[in-house]
This record gives sequence, structure tokens and C-alpha cells, in this order.
Amino acid sequence: MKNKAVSSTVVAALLIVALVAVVAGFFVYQQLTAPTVAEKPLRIGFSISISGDFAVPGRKQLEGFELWKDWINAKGGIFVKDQNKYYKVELVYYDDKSNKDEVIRLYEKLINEDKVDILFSPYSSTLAITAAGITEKYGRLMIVVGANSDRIFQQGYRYIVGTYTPASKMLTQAIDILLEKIPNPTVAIIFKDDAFAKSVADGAKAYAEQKGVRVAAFEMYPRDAKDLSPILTKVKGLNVDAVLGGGHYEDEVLLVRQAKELGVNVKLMSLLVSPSLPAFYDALKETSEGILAPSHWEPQTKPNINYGPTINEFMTQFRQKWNSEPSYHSAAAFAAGLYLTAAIEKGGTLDNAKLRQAFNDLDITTFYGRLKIDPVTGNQVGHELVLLQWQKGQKQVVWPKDVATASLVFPKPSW
Amino acid sequence: MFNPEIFFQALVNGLLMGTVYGIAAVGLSLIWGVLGVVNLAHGSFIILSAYLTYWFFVYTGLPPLSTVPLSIVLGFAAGYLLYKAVGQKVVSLDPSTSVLFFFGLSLLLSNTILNLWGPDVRGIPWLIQSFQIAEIRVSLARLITLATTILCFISLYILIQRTYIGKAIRAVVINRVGAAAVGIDVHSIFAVSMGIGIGVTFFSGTMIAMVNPFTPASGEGYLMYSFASVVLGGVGNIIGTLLAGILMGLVESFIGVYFSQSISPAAAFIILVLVILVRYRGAK
Amino acid sequence: MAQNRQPLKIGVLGYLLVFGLAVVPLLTGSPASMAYAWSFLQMLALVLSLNLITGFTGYVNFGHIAFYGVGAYAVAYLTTTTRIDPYLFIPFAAIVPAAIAYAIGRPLLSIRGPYFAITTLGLGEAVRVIIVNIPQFNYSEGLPIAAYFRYNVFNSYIAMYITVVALFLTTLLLRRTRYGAMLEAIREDEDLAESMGVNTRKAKLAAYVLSAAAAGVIGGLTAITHVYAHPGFFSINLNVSVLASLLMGGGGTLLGPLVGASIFYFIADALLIRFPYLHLVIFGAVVMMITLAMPRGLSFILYRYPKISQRIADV
Repeated sequence: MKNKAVSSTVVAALLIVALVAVVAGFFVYQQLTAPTVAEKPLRIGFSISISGDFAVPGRKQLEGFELWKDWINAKGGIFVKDQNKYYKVELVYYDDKSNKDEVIRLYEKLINEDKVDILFSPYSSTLAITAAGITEKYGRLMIVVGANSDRIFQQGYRYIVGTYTPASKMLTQAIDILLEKIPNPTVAIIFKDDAFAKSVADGAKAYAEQKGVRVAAFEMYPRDAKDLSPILTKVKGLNVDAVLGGGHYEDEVLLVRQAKELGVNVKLMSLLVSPSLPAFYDALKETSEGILAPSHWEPQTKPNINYGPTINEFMTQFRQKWNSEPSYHSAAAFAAGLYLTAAIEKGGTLDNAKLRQAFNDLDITTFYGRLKIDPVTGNQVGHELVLLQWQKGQKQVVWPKDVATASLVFPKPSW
Repeated sequence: MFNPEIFFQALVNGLLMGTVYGIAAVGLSLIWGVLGVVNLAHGSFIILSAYLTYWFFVYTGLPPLSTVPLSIVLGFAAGYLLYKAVGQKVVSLDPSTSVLFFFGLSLLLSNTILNLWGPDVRGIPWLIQSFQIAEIRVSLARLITLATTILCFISLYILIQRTYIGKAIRAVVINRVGAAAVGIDVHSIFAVSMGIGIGVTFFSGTMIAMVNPFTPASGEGYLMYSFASVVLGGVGNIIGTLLAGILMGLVESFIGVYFSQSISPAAAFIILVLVILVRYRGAK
Repeated sequence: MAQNRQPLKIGVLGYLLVFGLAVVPLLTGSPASMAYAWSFLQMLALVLSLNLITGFTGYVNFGHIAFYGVGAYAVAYLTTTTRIDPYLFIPFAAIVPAAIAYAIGRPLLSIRGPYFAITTLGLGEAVRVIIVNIPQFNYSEGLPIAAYFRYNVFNSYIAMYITVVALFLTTLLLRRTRYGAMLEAIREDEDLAESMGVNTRKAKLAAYVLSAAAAGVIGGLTAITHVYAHPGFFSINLNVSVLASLLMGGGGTLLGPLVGASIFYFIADALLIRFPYLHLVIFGAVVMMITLAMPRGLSFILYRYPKISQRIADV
């Protein structure tokens, strides 16, 4: 049976060869179809205020973007299904000097010259609404971060996606508190001559009137005002229960300082943006006691995260990279990156129009909170604000009650 | 319905803030009057001094009032050296070109401040208190600012009215060629005036730091107020400038209380135009 | 200023070169280069329009931006109310600012020197404050017009191109006519010009109205291209940049605005990209050095070499 023995050897050999071939073939097949890393990175463009009026939040927001870029690249990039590739992320950005003309020029440049794939908005409603005009013109997707004036989303723009709670809702919690604590409250709404502040004030006025709260004063003060005693003297004479409003940084700090100097004692005072940053306390010390402000995010919140890193991971990485504490601007910027990642993963494409569609069905909860947009306008409807209050030199979350780190001090201690 | 409390409160507010506007404009007025150049970098100098005051406060913990001598000396040195370095050339330029020079200087200064101290809003939480006289609230820090400003201004006035240098400065304001003819060294007077001008500007920056928060971009607003005060009060006329500043504070205060603060810049502009039309028609 | 009246050479040549180069983006049809060239042309147009008043008569105008903004708002407001093609309203962008300039020009231009500059400094801000207090103009938020027409990069580019060519021809005309010489006489010595029989009031006012109308048209076109008119149009920074460009290049000349706009646009842009944190510090230093080294503007560098300048000048 020599032949048989030979043939069995041959069969065995053939079998082995076949097996090797199948395995090798499988590997080759896998190799051929496995996602590769794209040779070109995904370019995300934006302008950001490194200098000018919005340099504080602008720089904080930029730090958030940069950290997100590091985070996603460390994970290997974003997977794009229809190309079967992983894309590393590259950020292309310029200083817009907090200036609208620059924003327009830079967004034209980002789209046309730098040929970025997707855009983030600049910080502030004023600049973002300007940028949106450009991105819309070219049909390019823009994730709006650091801007929430309702008017941005009322233009019928089809390529924008919001990440902040709309401006019109920024003071509604404060009004809710007032209604809960005292019967028939009256409020004074004062605001800076600025698109964002105007939008917040309009929203607050509408909400107050709808709830039957009397708005005793609804007044604007100039952008470059160096003295707010006139408007405060007027408000003092009206004996209101609450002062709501503000604008940005210099003016809000001045507002608090002069309110104390003039003895404008109210039960509740809520500003818009400055109290969320430590510089607010540094400039006012104990005068900051009891001042409220809405915040888009605070590290003390506890969302049920189903996407991206935890708050702790974010905080640790942020401190490591920047050697400073993140603000809500940084968190929102990072979350905008996550939001975009999720949409690209879900949509499986980089096509801007399809990506915008993908956002419609997306409902995720990141460390920054829930994110879900209104399909038609692109405005954010999922995200909730928290209300913070300065208490004995600490920034505490006091509202909503389920995430509060301290109980609300009401009425605000008199100066 | 006339409410005397509100009226007098508005009056006090206007006076307290107006003094700050006024003193902030004096340096601009002096330099413009003596050297004939419009210092567009004026606002940046104010904010530079405010940041120095803030820095001093953070590191020493001393009341910001104690920075006053230091900021005057630093300002004088800065102005004097600036003139010694490029002033002669700048003064010889066409007025519009010297404005351009100071525009460059202002960009340089305010962005250096931005890069040194960062963009955050700063303020000195010193004496954020007030006392009450018959329902009228008076801010303590602002009252101290008022007193210090008056003191500083009187010293400046004596310097200009009584000393040789002051007389020479006034002579140069009135007639530059004539002053040179009677043996005044015009260039050293220019250098000293620039020093005094920036010195007063630094002083006003310290005053502003004591009562108002500020950012690296705040200078522009103070520059606008200063321009208006100088033109209202008369170029080179330091008393007029101070009073014009006080007037601006009062106008802003009363408009804000009795109408709306949002229109006060437009109102201030209209007053300014009317004054200019009456006073400076055809003036060079 | 005898050497200024030489036959036009290098100035015209420079513009022809720019106009030639500016056609290239149209031919290639690349929106990228078109948008980039558009911003440059817009800057050049603004500098040329400011040149009409500030360059020729020497009245340093910080309020130019008021007319630019009014032009933008005129177009945007009419577009939002009528919902028809905004280009139809460009004439209004010229007429409204011109009317305002005519109304305020007579008293305003009786103020001279730095006082004129300071007064106009307040003008832009005053107009802005008035506009942001008017409900029809949406207060501080402005008037977006993207929803009312279909934006087309070609139209916007061609419109700005034509504006620049028209401004070039106007400037050329001023350099060659008696009226231009009258304006220059005002710049050199207004009282002397008056005593020599120049109706300085009329001449100044005409230049001011013309310059305002031009600024209004540029503002209107910019509002269309930006699909938005907003209070940011009254930006004192833009006014100062335009003024700085003009003075750096050399006012009252043909070549000056071109040189100034190019420097301002390209140097500032290059610095912005290379030094995101320090660009303004460096740019400030550059401006200071230019004013000290070339106080009459860079285009006057030609006159340092009289032999060359006599052949090719009229800058």
C-alpha cells in the first residue's frame, strides 16, 4: 500500500496548503477590508477670539477643542463608514479678534482656501450669527458652540447644530425660583447692547410676562459703559424683587460692584456669564455673595453618561494638558467635538448635508449633559442649564434641586 | 413726579464718575495742547497703569492708593523716554501721520497687556462699600478717588501755573515759535510735557483700577470719553478738560436716570458736535 | 506738488495689473480665490473711497464707517421688507448716505484739523447707537438677509470689481482735472485756496458726499456678500484700518491706496496666520516703523529718486 501512503501524505500536504491558503486568504481579505487610517486628516475649521472682548471665553473654548482633538486622536480618530477609514482630526483656526469683519473673512478663508471639512462656530452669538451666514452660503455644516441667541436659529438655516441651551431660556430658572419663593414678584431686566444679551433679555421678558411676573424695567445699557450707576439708580427707585440680566464680563462685574455701592438691595440677582469664572470672585471677593448665574455645565453635575468620557476623565485630562480648571466653555467645546464624532459615526459619512440629517436622530448624554436638537432649526432642545450661586467664596450649583451641591440662599443677603 | 432722592443720587453719581472721566482726559489734553499730537494710544496707557496697579495690589496686598506715587513716576518716565526716543520725529510729522504712529503704539501696548496678563476681567476688591447721607448713597472708593484726584489736580495746576517749567509749557501752548524765540528750549519742554501727560494718565489709570473693573480691551471706551472731554473743555486747557469730564459724567447720569442709558452715547455726541460747531468753526 | 502732475504711469500700471489679476479668479471660477480676492478688493475700494475726502482734502475722517454701515442697512432693510433681489437696492445704498452726508457735511466740514477727526470719531458710534435703538432694525441683532435671495459668489465678485474700477476711474479723473487740483489746494492750505478763488465749501462738500456715496455702495455690497447687516458694520477698528492703509500708502494719490491696501491686507493676514497670539503686537510695531520711516506714505518712496520718479511717477 505504498501508493496509498504516498497519497495520504499528498492529501495531508494539500490539506495543509489549503488550510494555510484559506487562513492567509482570510487574513488578506480582512486586511483588504479592514478600516485604514486615512492619509489626510479630517480638517475642522473655526475662528476663535484670542484677543478682544471675547478673549476669555474664546481661549477657554479653544482649550476644550484642543483637548477633544487629543482625546479623539489618541483613540485612533473618527471612523467614517462609507470610506471605511479612520480619520485623525486636525484643527484649523485663527484669531478673529472678537471682530465680525474678521469672522467673515476667516470663514470664507477656512471654507475656500483651507478647505476644511466641517466647521465650529466662533464664541459669542454676535460672531456665530455672522459666521452662520457664511457657512450657510456654502452649505457647510457648522456646530454652534458658545453661542445661543435664538435668532441664529430663526433664520431658516439648514446646516447649523446648537450645543448650548437657547439664550431665551437662560433666565427662566431664576424666574421659576422667584415664583416659588414669593407671591407676585416684580423684576427689572437690564442688559448690554449686544445680540446675545438682547436675546436673553427678550426671552426672560416673554417668560416673565407669560408667568404673570411684572417686568418693572426693561432697559439696555451701552456697550462701552464705564458707569452703570444711572441705570441702577433708576432700578433702585422701582423697588423690584429681582434684577436679571447683564452682558459679559467687565460690565457684569461693574454692575455688581455698583449695585452694592448704591445699595440696590434685591432678593435675587442673576447675571448671565461672568459668575461662572473664578475671575468674577477675584474681582469682587465677598461682594459676590449670593449672586446667581446660569451655567451650561458645572463639574458637580451628574449626567447619566452614555457617550464619551466621564466628568472625572475630562477634568483630569484637562488639568493635565492646560494646568488650569475647565469652564463650561471648555466642556461645551469638548462636547461639541463628541457630538460631531457621534454624528459621523452614526451617519457614516463626511457629507455635510447627510451629517446634518444624522444629527436629527441623535440623542446622547455626554459628561456635558444631554444633547438633542430640534430637527428643523438645529437649535438645542436636550441640554439643560444649571443655576449656580456664589456662597462664601465657593461656586455652588443650587438649581435644579436634584443636582444641587448646596441649597439656594434666598433671599440674597443684603450687601 | 419729582423725587429729590433720585435727583441728588444722580447728581452724586455723575460727579463721582465725571471726575474720573475728567482726570483721565487731562493727560491727553496736555500732550495734544503742547506737542500738537493726538495720542491715540491714550486708552492703552490708562489700562497699562490699571494693570500695574492691580499687579501691585495682588503682590503686596497694600491698598491701591499707595500705588499712586509709583504710577506717576513710572508714567512720567515712560512719557519722557518715549519723547526722547522718537518724539522729535513724531512731532515733526503731519498730524494725520502722527495719529497713525499712535495707532500703531496702541495696538502694540494693548496686545502686550493682553499677552502679559491674559484676557480675564480684573478688578480690585478694595473698599466696595458706601455710606449714606439722607438716603443718598456715596461709594467710599469713589469718594477717595475724588479726593485724591482733586489733590493731584491741584498739584498739577500749581506746577503749571507757578513754576518755571509750567510757565514755559504754557508759553509753548500759546505760541511755539515765540517761546523758542525768547530762549525756551522747546524740545526739553516737549519731553517734560509728554512725561507729565503720561504721568497724569497713569495716575488716572490707578484711579480707574480702584473703582472699575477692566480688561485689556477697556482702553477704547476711556479713549472715547477722553476725546469728548478734551474737545469740550479745550485742547491744552486742563481745567476745562477736567470740568468737561465732570459734565459728561453728569449728562450721562441724568440721561440714564430720566430717559434711558442706552441713548447716552448718542446724546453725548450731539452735545459734542454742537459745542465743536460753536467753538471750533474754522479753527485749525 | 509739481512733480505730482507728471503723466500718469506707474499708478495706472499698478491698477491695470491688479484688474488683470483680479479677472483670473473669474476665469478659473474657483470660489476660494474669489472670496480671497473679494476681501482684498473690498479693502481697496474702502481705501479708495476714503481717499476721495481724506486723501485729497486732508480731512482725516474717522466717521467713514457710518456711511458704510448706513449703506449696508439700507440694502438689508429694503430686502427684508420687499423680499426682492438686494442688488436692486444698491442705488439706495448710495443715495441714503449721500443725503446724510449732504445734510451734515456743511457744518461738519467747517470744523478743521484734529477737531474734524474727533467729531467724526463720534459719528459712527452715534449712528450705531441710533440704529440699535430702532425696533425695525432688530436692535443689536441686525438684519440677516440670507433667507430672501440666492447668494451667488460671481455676482458679488463682479459687483465689487466694478465698484473698484469705478473708484479707480474717479480717482484718475480727480488727478487730472481742475476740480481735483482744487481739492489738493485745500489740503495744502485751505485759506490760501479760498483767497485764490476756490469755493472751498462747495468743493469739500462735493468730495464728502461722493466719498459717502461710495462707502454706502461698498457697505451695501458687503451686506449682500455677508448676507447680513449688523451693528458690527460701524466698527471703528475697520475705519482705523482703512485710514491706516491710506496713510501708509500715501493719501491723495492714485498708487497710495493700492500700496496701502496691499500692505495692510497681506502683511496683517500673514502675521495673523503665523503668530496667532502676537500678530497685533508685531503689526503695531510695523505701523510705527512705517510712519517714522516714510511719513508721507510708502508710495512717496519714489520721490527719493527724482530721476526715476520724473519718468514713471504720478503715484
